[in-house]
Amino acid sequence: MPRGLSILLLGPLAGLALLVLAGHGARLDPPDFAFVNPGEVASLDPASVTGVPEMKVLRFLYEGLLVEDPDTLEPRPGVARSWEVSPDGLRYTFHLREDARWSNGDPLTAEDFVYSFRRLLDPRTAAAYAYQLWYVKGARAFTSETGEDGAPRPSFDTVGIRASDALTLLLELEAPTPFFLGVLASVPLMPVCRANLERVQHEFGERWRVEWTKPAHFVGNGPYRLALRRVNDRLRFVKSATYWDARSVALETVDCLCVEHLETALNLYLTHEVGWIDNVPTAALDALREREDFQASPYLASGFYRFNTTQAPFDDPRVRRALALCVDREAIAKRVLRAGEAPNWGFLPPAIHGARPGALRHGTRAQDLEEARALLAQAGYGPGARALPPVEILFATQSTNKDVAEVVADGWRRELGVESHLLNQEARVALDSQRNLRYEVSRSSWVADHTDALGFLEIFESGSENNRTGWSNARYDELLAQARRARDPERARLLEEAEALLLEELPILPLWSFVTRNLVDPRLAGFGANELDEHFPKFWHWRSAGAPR
Amino acid sequence: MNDAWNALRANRAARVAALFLLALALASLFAPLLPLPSPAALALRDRPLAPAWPWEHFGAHGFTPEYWKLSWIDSQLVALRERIFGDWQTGPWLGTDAKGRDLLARIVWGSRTSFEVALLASLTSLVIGVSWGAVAGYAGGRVDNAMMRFVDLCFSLPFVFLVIFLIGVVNEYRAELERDFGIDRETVFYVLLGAFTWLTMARVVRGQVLSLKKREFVEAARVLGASRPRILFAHLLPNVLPVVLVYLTLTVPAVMLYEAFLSFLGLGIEPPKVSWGLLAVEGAEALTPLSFDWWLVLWPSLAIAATLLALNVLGDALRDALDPRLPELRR
Amino acid sequence: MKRFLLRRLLWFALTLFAVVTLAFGLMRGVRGGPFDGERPLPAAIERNLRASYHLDWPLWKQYCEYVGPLELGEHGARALGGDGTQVFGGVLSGDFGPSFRYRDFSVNDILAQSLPISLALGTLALVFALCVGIPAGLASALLRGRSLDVVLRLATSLGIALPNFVIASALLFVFALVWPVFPVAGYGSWRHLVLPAFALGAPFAAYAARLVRTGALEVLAQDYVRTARAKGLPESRVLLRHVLPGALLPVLSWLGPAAAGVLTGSLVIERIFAIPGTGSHFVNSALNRDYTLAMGVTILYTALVYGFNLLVDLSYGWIDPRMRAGGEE
Repeated sequence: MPRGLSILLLGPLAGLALLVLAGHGARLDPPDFAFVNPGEVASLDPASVTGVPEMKVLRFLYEGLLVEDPDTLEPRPGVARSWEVSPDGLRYTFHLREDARWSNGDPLTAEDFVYSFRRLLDPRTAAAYAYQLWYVKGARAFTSETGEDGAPRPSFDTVGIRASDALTLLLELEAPTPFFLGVLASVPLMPVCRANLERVQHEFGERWRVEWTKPAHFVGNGPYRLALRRVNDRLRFVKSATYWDARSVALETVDCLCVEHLETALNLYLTHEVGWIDNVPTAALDALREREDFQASPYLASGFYRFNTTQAPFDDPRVRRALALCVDREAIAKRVLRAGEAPNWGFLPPAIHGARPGALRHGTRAQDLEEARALLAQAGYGPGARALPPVEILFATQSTNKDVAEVVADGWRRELGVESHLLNQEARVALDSQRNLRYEVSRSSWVADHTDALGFLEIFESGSENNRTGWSNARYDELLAQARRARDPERARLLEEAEALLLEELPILPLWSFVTRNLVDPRLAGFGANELDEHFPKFWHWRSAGAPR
Repeated sequence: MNDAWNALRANRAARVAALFLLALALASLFAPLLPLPSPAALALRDRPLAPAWPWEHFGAHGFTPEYWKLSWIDSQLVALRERIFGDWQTGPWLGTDAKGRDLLARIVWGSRTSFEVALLASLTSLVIGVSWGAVAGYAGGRVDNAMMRFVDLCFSLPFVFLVIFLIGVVNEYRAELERDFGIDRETVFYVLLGAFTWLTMARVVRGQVLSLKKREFVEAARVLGASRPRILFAHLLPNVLPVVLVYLTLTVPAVMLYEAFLSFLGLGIEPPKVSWGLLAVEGAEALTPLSFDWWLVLWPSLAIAATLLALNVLGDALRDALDPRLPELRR
Repeated sequence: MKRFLLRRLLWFALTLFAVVTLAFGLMRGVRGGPFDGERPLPAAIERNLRASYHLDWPLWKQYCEYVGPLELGEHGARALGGDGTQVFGGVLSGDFGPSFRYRDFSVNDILAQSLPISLALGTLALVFALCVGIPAGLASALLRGRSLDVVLRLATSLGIALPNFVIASALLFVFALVWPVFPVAGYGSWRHLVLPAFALGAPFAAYAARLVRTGALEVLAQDYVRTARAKGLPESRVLLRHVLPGALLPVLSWLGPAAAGVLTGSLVIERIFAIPGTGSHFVNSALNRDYTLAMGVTILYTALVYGFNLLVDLSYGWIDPRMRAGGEE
């Protein structure tokens, strides 16, 4: 017996030793500033970026041709010192600064951008955001048309990207694109160091992919360099000495913590462990709304439901309109979302130029409801006729989605007598259902890539991967095609007409537009509040000259 | 057997526990009949309503008969309730959530899901787990090895994938399943949970049987020429029972919480239905240093804990009462 | 003994093979893929991405690539696309492949970073659970029916019934917010592990206490214990020599899988305390459809379950000599 017992007890003791070891390796000095990232970064490679967590982090390590003003999103010089746009809006010339350097000391040249852009577009890189460069002439074909071996069929010479000398980069576009400078400041278009990449590829062979982003091998051109990376835990950034504007970078070390749980992030913030969290638990909003460190500013994102317009009764615009009119958006915004989200009776977020956030609404809710009932009756449903069959609302599992669905369903039953069934599916299954049109009504949202209406409206173009409603309208497609070629003010008019058409047909049920939910240390200046919720660490500094805690 | 029954009745703690469980079961079964507010009707509020003592707010007229899709019997019960109590309903004795839904009502209705899950999981782990473990332990050798390796295999399968997969399949054919077989997603989900919980039970029982089968009384039975099934069922199983009962009382809360976890991932029950575990999860979410809505997490947790305590007390008493060898230890 | 271990090893290989095969099929059978996002990729790019991870291969070929150190593809996998190709040796050569979601890491990297943390936390929780649970269970059994027994049973019932996120929240509130002796979350020093270990271990302590109590009561009623007592052996000797081994028996069967579970981490505790352990990968890899990572944690878990069950089966023999010959002859 004692032998058995001793095993039982010795095992744990060995483990304790291990614990001490693990604890020792993890000692770290506290950073000047720390913030929370809601998930582990998928990759530090700008070409492999997939979502919000990477966008937050990559601006530390890289800098694109341009950066943006943290408050107005106006383009500002980045690696490019200045730029010119031809009068027809098709040709862009960028003059790179001479003092731009990689973190290994090498100079950064226009060739690096050509290489990086080519790499982003190359189908073998399989970059999720390659389409961001498709505004450039020939770029779409370069990514989409591949040969047997997966290599692009067109030659790169057909793509409008060229370096005329070491410091001059020329880009030629397919059509005038008023928001193109914003695209150039975005994360996927940041440059990677060719020499370093090739060195790592040579040294590590097939393992280069997982090696080149390790702190020991990583080379970037941003205001910070990578000092430490632990998966699911922490990234540490240290001010880069080779950055051309290092003088204006104020914080020496910044940590990015990976914390998925909202309550945990809030606890970390309240105990001053971190200085910025980008989302807060809904339950805490009442206490937070009045605080000066809580930033809820308009954010270019729309929450809406999709209708499966290929299926009765949702193939009838009257039914869709009736259901859309009936929803109590005020209640959803004020009582469910509660951070200051704006109820939206149109599709575009009100902060976007040309949005019509009141388009659907009549004067009062009573009038809305009256029209909804009338429309249902016209469509042949309601009292005296057959009842509308129960509606199935599909949403990806998440408590807010559920809360909204419950309120929507409650409104339909109460005001229209329409029963509904809530179906929650695991996120990726729900997406799959949406894509294959295996749903009736389904919850969705759309977040802007840039501050332009076209990005929102083109998701409902026929054949768009984002459409997912089965809705298709020739006039709508035509309007968008024209808008792509036109310039303001004609362009704005065409886009407005397109949104009006969308709201008339309503393949979607617009609900609300988002606000940011940042909780930021009030002593941090230069953080900015903008419609894309993008933040640029190079501008961060402490408000008073006093040392941080 | 009579003996055991008398012993059980003599145990006061067990009597209290049994009464408590009975009351809960009745409340759960006849939830539609109780004058509770509807657990699904929304009355959106800015903040969850804190609990009010019954003498502060005893009740009000304002009942709205809004539920999720109810079975025929349940809707009859609701109708009967309206006949008896009219539109009177109890006050927010345990508080409400931010959507104005009464917590007491949600706990009572939620008990249905939690009890169903617990019952089903206990049944499978009793039937499958005990017999699997007993046979493996008694047979020994190759049979034992194969059976236990099968348990290991089931244990190692990535359960979340399994659930996503099966729920996906069920979703696909949900219309046919409901129409032709009367099976809905929840039934499948329960069965799945049960199918998972028997594994540890099998291991526990096997361990016990392995130890027992070398004991003198089993040897004696064998020498006397008892058949194998007879030894297994008449001699071994009764002696395994105490551990089985205790393990069962451990399984029940584990399953309730597992159900909450899966529902939380969107793989379990569907809103607006609730369960105790889900209520506790949502309550814990609402608990931050800035919003101390303690009642949302306290009452559901207390409901789980109290039920479990009663189960434990009853389980212990039952164990003592059934135990063939402990008469002198009875109080 | 050697034959027994050898046989077990063989069974382990068989089980692992079955688990890998079943899990592989299961994962590919689930709807939704690793590259699905709220904004779907243009068809051309998705095709490229799938090709670069060989997801466009027939399933059997992917399976072979995953399992074995094989050179597949027309000119060997190496030739298949230069830059973007993910070539790896396969599980048999100890390479779990690249993670589909965390593209800067191989699954080996991720496990190597997160497993020690989970092991440390899990060991701490287990030590706590056993150190509290076993004495509590014994005391409860010896003082059956007295007030201490009642209190202990109440405490264990609470420990079992209270969801661990409730225990964790309560601990956080008291020991990190009201009286800040421990950090609220994160990982970096031993102080970060105290609260999570306690929250993780509490239910296990309660389990252990209940199982020990039952086991001890069983044994106390046995003839040999009564004989030992009647012979006038000192009570401590009776306890250690006769009662404890029997009392530990039910704990053991439960401890095997439980230890594997605790040591591989708990999603809930890791989320609440922001601990970068393996527990979250079990669920997140499934939700992200990160096939390789999911396979990696599955294999890891299988190995641990198997290893611990083996230990348990061995210790049956040590604890109860009558079983030594049993079970495996």
